[in-house]
Amino acid sequence: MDCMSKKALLSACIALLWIFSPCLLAAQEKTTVRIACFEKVRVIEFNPDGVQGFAVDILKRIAEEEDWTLEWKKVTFPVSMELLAEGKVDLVVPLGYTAERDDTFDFSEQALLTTWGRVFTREKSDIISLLDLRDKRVGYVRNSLFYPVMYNLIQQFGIECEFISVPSYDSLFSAVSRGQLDAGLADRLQAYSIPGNLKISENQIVFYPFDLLVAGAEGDPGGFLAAFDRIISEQKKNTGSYYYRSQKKWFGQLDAGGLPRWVSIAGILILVGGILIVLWTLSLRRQVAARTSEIEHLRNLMANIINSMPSILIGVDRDSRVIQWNQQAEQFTGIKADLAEGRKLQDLLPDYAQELRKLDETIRTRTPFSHHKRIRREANSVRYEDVTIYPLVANGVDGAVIRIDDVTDKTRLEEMMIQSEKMVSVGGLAAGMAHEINNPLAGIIQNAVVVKNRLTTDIEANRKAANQVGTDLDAIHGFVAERNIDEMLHNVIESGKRASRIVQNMLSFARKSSFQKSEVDIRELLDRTVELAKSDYNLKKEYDFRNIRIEKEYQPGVPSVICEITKVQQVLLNILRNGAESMCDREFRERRGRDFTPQLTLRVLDAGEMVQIEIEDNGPGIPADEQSHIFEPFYTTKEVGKGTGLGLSVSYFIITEDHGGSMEVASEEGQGTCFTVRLPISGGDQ
Amino acid sequence: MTPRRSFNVLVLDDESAIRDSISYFLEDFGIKVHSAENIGKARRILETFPIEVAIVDLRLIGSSGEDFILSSLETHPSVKYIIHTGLNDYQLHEFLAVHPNVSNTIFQKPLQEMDELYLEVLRLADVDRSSEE
Repeated sequence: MDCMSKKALLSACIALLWIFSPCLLAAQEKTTVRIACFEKVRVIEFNPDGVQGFAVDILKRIAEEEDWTLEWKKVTFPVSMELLAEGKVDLVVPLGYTAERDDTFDFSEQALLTTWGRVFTREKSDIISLLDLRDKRVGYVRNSLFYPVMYNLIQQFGIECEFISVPSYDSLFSAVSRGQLDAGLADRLQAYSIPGNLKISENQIVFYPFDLLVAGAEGDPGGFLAAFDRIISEQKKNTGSYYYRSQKKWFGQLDAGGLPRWVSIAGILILVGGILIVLWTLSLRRQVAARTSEIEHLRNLMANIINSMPSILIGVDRDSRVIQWNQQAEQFTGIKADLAEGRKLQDLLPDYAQELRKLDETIRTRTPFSHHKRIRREANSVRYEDVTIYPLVANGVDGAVIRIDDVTDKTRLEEMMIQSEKMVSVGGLAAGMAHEINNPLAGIIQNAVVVKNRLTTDIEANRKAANQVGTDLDAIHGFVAERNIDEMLHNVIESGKRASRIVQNMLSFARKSSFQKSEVDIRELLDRTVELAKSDYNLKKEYDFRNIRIEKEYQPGVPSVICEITKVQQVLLNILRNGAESMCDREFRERRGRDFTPQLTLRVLDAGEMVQIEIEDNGPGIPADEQSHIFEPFYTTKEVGKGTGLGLSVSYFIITEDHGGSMEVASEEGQGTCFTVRLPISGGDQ
Repeated sequence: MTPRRSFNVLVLDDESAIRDSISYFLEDFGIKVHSAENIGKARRILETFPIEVAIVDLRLIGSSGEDFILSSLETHPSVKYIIHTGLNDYQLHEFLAVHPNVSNTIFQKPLQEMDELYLEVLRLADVDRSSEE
């Protein structure tokens, strides 16, 4: 029975089992999910019993929730994709996203893990940035996506290096450790697999971050990817979830599911730095704006100063091309600054070729060059200029500044001052000499007069004396005449008187005239003086003043002048006489022939506060070297005995000292001479 | 040419050539000329002779003709004075410039026309020229 009952019990159990077997079978019909995997450090690791790693933990947990049975197929990376493509597996874990792969497979939305590429170098390597990879040997594992990524990256930086492929990460790291490779490209996770004996360091260079996803068949027919996404997104919301716990388990602090800690710190630092840079840039921009306005103001000021200068100021570079051209330069040349700039200075100022030849030397030797009182001839006058070339001495600027100043007025003033100084010194001398000379002259002249009286006049005393010595006056007069004694006495007296006049003239320098000044129309005075010249006995002796043609060019409405009329007339007469004498010079007349007509042109012009008198002849002119001397006392070109050499110097003194006017001469040899006298209308007594 | 009457003239000059020339010149017109080379002698002449006109040089050795005139105007108020000088820009003492006994004309050496001096002497002596010639 026991046996029977045991058998029956067993049979019943078997029957029950059979009856319920579909249910049991149904309960056992969990969804089997076939997963192709390949080794990835800490994510999927193969062991003799199967697989382990972060991805394995996560998927196991999902399988629990979804009631999946997981079937792991340990393959290699390329095989994993082939299996998925052929439908022999449902999922591939893990797989990076590429557009190409996306054509064939579907990818999970949620990342299993984020990773990135990293450059591994030997310890203490000098490679600290991408740029240091120039010309280095860089290794990568065959088919690794980091190779094309890095290749493109360094291309963008314009650097080149030698890429070398190796079969595996082991060989990559050992080659780097041995120094056969300067650097190796690998997933950052590979750091966990480096054997401790290798001298490898994780370099700062990080590149190409990407997500490790789960890939499934196109269209996700099993809904595995959707389930994965749903659960992982839930898990990621809670930092205490198994997702994060697993991460900590497998990756520790190294990987909190994101970038390394130093990357975050660096990020914050970069952010703070960035903000500071932005603020700094803004403040800098404000400073620059302020400086720019200041510079603009200074530039305007400088331009104003340079243009307000009475000098011509021109800046040139080392090739003599104009870089600065001021307003005076514009006025002088008639060339506008914008047209002048950039052109060769020699082309713009051809008249200054001689000075500009010094330009190169000046720039080279950094020694200023100057030409004082350079003579520039204008249509009717001569101008004096100072031309100075200053080298630009600041370092880094090669060039020069050319400065041209019109110093005509200054030069004339200097000449006048020298002239009047001479006059004053002559004056001082004359005053002292006068008395000493006058006394002996009086002795000569006055005694000669008495001698003449006694020998030639018929007075009682003479008659008485003649009788006493037994003769008579007629006999004496006859003797005196016969022996030309009267003529000789006349010569003694006249010579004495001439010497006396010289002394008197010289004294004109010493004395400020106290004569009364009165108003006169210079045109009338000039006319009267011409009449006087015509009747001048001394002139008549030599030639007839009436043979000279007189041309009058009097400007109407010339104001009257307050002056010492007789003195001014003396000056005018002196000039007329000099002109007449020079034109009537025999040698000159012979040279000019019979057709020559001596002519005096008289001009009276209104010159503002002055009246200008010009007396121009067409005589032989005065040589240039003599012109500067003609107002000096005792300077004469006349024959000995003809002139005293004081006429023009006295004239000069009368005009400049007594009247505050000016007297100039302009003459060209063979063309004639023009004297210009300017008298202030006011009479010069301020 | 000769004066209607003869009268006495003093010539005071330290240069003999000038002193003599004026003396001889005036003597030829019948004027009695007394010459002196210094103030002491001139004073003695003033004391001795009835001088009507004195021709006085201003710059004398060691003394001044001006001082002589100033003092003589007091001692001999009837004498008239003519200044004859080599100084060109001489400013006459104010008192002398307006004094009726001092000629307004200052005769400068050398005399350009000696006749003018003679005429001034006649004028001051209040003597007409004779019309005999």
